[in-house]
Amino acid sequence: MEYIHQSLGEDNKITTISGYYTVDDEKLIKYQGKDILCVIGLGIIDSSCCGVGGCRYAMVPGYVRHWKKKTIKGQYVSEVDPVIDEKSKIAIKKILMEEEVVTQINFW
Amino acid sequence: MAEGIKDKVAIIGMGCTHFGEHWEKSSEQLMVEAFNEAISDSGVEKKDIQAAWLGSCMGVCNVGLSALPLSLALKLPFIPVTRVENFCATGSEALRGAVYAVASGAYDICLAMGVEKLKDTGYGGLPDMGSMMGTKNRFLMPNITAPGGFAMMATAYFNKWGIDPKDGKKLLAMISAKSHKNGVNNPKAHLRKEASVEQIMKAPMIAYPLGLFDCCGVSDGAACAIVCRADMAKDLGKKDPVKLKSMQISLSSGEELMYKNWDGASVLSAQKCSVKAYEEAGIKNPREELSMMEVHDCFSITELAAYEDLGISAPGKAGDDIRDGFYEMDGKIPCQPDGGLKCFGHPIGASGLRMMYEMYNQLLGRCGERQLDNPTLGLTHNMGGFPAMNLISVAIAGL
Amino acid sequence: MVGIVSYGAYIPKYRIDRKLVYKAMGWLNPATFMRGEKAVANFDEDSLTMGVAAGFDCITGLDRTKIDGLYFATTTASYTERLGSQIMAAAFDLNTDIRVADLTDSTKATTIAMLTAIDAVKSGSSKNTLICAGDCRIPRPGSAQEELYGDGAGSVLIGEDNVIAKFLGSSTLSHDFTSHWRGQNDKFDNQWEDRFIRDVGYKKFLVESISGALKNCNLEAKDIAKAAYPCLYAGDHKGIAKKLGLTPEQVQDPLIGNVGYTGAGTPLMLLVAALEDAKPGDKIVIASFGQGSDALVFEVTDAINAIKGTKKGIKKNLETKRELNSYEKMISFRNILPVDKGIRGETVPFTALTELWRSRKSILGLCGCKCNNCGTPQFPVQEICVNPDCGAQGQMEEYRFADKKGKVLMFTGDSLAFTPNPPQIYGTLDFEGGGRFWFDVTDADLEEMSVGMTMEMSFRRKFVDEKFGIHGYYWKAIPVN
Repeated sequence: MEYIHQSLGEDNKITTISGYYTVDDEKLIKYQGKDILCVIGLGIIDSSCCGVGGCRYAMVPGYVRHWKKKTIKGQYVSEVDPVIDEKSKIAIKKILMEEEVVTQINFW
Repeated sequence: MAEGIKDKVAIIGMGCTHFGEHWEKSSEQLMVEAFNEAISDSGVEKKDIQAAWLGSCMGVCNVGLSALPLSLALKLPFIPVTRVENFCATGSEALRGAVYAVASGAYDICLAMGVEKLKDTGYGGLPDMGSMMGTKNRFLMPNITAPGGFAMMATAYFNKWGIDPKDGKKLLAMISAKSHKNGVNNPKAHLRKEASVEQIMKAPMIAYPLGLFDCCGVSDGAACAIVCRADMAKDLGKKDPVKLKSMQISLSSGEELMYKNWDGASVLSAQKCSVKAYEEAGIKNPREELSMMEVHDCFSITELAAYEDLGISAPGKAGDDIRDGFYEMDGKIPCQPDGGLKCFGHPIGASGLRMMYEMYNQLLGRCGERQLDNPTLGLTHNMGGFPAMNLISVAIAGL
Repeated sequence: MVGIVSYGAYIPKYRIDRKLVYKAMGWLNPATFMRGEKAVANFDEDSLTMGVAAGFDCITGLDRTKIDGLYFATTTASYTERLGSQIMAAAFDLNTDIRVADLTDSTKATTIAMLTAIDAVKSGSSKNTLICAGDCRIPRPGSAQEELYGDGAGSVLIGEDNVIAKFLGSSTLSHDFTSHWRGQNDKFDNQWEDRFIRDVGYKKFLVESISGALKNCNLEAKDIAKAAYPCLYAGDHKGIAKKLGLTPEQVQDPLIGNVGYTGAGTPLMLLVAALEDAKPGDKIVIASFGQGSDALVFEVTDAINAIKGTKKGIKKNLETKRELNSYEKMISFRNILPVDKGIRGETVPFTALTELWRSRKSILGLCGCKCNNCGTPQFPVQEICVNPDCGAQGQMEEYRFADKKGKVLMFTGDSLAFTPNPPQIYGTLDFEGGGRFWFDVTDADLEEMSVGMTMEMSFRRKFVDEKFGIHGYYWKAIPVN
């Protein structure tokens, strides 16, 4: 699968009517000898219909097959293999919860 | 023998304020603003209005109860004014009151106003459900929010049709992206910013599987309509007046929540309501005959389900239509040409009327950059409650 | 013959490793270190809900119409005036002509309840009295009690038919021995010096009451299969056994290393643990501690074999556990940490007590109705049948859902709804036998939820209106274990 890298930093807010999110960091974590791409972001929900909330979250596109192999409209694109195995997901979640202080982890 | 209202009532004027966080505007100011646009559009004067309907759901948050807020704001001269509320379909309910009053022959010219001001509470969002659902539900209802209530339908829908959750998320993202793109061309929208499918897919979750971009937000706003007997419209200078073909609503009987029939993957009342609406409007094949629609996209899944519940996409096949661009601005039935709830937010009392405002202006060719090619029939779908317990309004307007 | 007819227990699923507690607060009072884990009630549990869970374990399969008394023993009641036992009776859907009582103000209340129930049955004024005892005591952060105390409940049914352990005799010791106390408005347990409690009270009273009970039954230490008494101090717990002439094998494991000291819950929980391993003829002595000590002696009958394995008791409850890996969560569950709920979370609508009265069967008993015209079970109680092909009125009979399991039709994990233990999970259940409704889900992780999974119902505290002091009880769905 192709993953289009997003611009990092709190100035790059991706806004919707109920809030916004920013992408803070991209990390490569090692698991079973392979590199896994993890994207850490902050979501703020301050105008939704049912209250305010938000989270520091991690999104895991998957194992890196080809790091930043091309660009599309100025954004880097990497090739990744999504993590499918449940056991691996549990293990990766544990690593992320310990290393990064996130409250939501989503896998592609 | 009851005849329905097809072609009996014309909309001769509509107004709509900018929707947004209007810290500086009171609900009175919003109502006057929407009214001014409607009355100058209509060709009649305030003194000609014989009865009015005020739609406001969260009266206790700001506007207040009774219909006095409307009569006092507009200084209506001792005419009948009624306050109506039907959760998020309040706006359509206000229009329905005005329309049925004229269709019944009791009045010639009536007004419908929808207004909501949700930013006086001191916190983001609507008041807690516990205070809105009655004393019994205070004890019995789960700690539910609207995103959660609708998220459950998403899980049930993907499960029923064997859609992989990732593909399902992408469908929801495509719906949301389309609406965001449409809103860019609408100066009255709260949010006028595109969001790509990519950006939407990468956003965090609010209630699995609904993410940040699948949920609408709160807003302040007002919208207004002036209606009259269809045969009077031409005398008022309306060459091709916009007429109501149908205004139907349908409410849950309790069987979705408490009986075994419902599978959780669609909105039963939308199915039943649209059948009645098409019958009243004389529409035999909505997929072929409708030109455009505004549906209640409080959450992307609501819109997805609506495509099928309204009998336009075949059951389980909405995904194909979405991927084919059927509901895009250049598609067969553009959906949310004004950006929808995703771009306007949801001042509850106003939303149903805002939807009709778009259909009205599209039919009259007034939409500038986002004008569709010669639309003839527009449908609004306005929903209140949850998939398990709800009410649906389907209104069809045309030339 | 009067004695125990049935038993049950409940241990909250959350267990916290005591090292976490020590890591958080050991810097304050390094002497508080203890090994093992302890049971922590979820934010929606309290002594009453735990008592109900233990009670259900006890009475499942029995004829509830035959229960004519209910005692609730606790030191952590949610109300100072409003009978907890009555709320429980509604949850159990018992008759309305039964005797109920709350026995409170001491961790000895449980054995007082037992003795009173036994007397009532002996005198003939009761045929079956149910006793539920539990505690959710709140220790000061950093205190030794914080390491020691756990949450839990036990339950026994006292009667005279099909007795599994007959009552042989007892001994009562009553002193205004103020080792622990709480004033009217105190949230936290207060205590005097440990050495005083141990030397003057604990060591002495338990020896006196247990040996007194044995004497009253003409028994000696060697006749006892199990002695079950609370452990407040590990060394002295052993010392008491020695003084009584009991071998270590005769001492019931006091569950400190895996549950903690559960106050009023402890005597019954230890009794249940002993009964689970008992064989006919075994003599078991149980004792309480608090303003004195009561000891009761029971002899197990042949009837115990029929009941073994049919209860969750202590063993199965011990196995059903979830890790609570946050000290901060533990103290926010007990409102020791007054967390930010936001204005939206703080605005609690007033509780319509008239509605609670009208709908008490639905709200507290999870009783709906069944239409005799079409046979459809429905919840809550309906005036008009919900079956669209029926619609009959006035043909409803009462139908209880509390003991039914259900399959998940749909669910979600809501990160926006305010809950002290996010995310808020809820879903719609289709009950076995018919009937459908939506419920909050608790004691579950989002990852383990799936459409079609089976869940059962658990009595919980649904909301607390702190301003008006109202605790709202209702039912939530939990995974079946």
